[in-house]
Amino acid sequence: MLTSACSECGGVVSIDSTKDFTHHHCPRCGALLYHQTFSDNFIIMMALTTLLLFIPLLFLPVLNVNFLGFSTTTTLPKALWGLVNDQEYIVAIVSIITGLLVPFLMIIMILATLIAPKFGIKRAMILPIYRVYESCKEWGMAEVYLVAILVSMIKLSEKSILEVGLGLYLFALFALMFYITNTYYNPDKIWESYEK
Amino acid sequence: MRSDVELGLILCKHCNLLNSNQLHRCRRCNSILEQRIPHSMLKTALYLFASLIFLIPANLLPIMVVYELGVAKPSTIIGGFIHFMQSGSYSVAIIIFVASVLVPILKICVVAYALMVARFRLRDRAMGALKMFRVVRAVGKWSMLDVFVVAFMVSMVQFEIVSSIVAGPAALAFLLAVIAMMLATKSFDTRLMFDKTT
Repeated sequence: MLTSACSECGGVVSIDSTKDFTHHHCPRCGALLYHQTFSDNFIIMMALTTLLLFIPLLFLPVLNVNFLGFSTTTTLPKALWGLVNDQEYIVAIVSIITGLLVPFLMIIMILATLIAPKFGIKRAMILPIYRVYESCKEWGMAEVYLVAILVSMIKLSEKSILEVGLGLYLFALFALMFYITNTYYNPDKIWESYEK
Repeated sequence: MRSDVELGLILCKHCNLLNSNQLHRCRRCNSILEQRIPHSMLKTALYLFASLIFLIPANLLPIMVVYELGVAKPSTIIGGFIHFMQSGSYSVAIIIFVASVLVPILKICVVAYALMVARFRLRDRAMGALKMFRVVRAVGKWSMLDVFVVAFMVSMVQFEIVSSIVAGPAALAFLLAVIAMMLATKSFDTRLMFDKTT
């Protein structure tokens, strides 16, 4: 038996850690207290896949817009950088950070926290990485950016001819993989692996 | 059910280990222990107020200005919703309305309600407030949708004199409102609603 407290309502609960369960919820407020997921190796593989999808995204065209003979093609970073020409520096920088930089760093940090214990790296080294991951969790908005592109496409399709690039398909896959990897990443396991 | 405060325990928010409240650092991960988020209610209230203030210019000023053959057509958030309703794209209109008008208003109401529950110790309302708060927290980042749409449209529509789009002042105001709101939900400690005394 493991005694823990709910992080959302503060109630002290006991978790039967010997039982084979996947999810353990707080009996009072229903908050998720503990979840057992795939093995570390599986999550490392998913994170690597996500990372591999990310790199070509920086260079591949996402969308080509043709309007009365004028045409523009863009990649993901270029699309957000467009605001800099309008002197909207804050909006541009925040968009790039939340839409691309934070998702990328989050995947790197997941990989680092999972791979480092395998090489016997001390817990004190991994903790700062995990804390940074924790604090930027809400600011990774790859999926929001993806839906924003789809909304923009509907707006643009009224007047111009659109040609979807390979980048958009890859970005959809990336956003999906990014979401799955973050959902199944379970830091509790890292702490457990050090307790043995 | 008894709370961690009553039993003299502190939960480490980084590694979820229960520590005795005699300790200042977690015995497993060495993080600094805090019973509750410090100044949680004050911080939440201030971020909430900031978000409310930013929402006014965000909705009233143009979020982007469309230039067609030199003629400027400013568009506001509510204007975009009306445009899609009139052109028959109801699904897009509903997405825009929910994401950029309804959600910010609902979020402010729910967080204000949760703050009241915590401040006036309305413990029998805590469960309901927590459930609504969770929804608000989950949809938080989707309010950034508009900012990304503006960013994307601005860089896609650059067809010299024929048609071009420039970001409006509401884009920055909207971004700041969303960020302030996210910080408000982040700094609110939901456990305060369930605590008997401090």
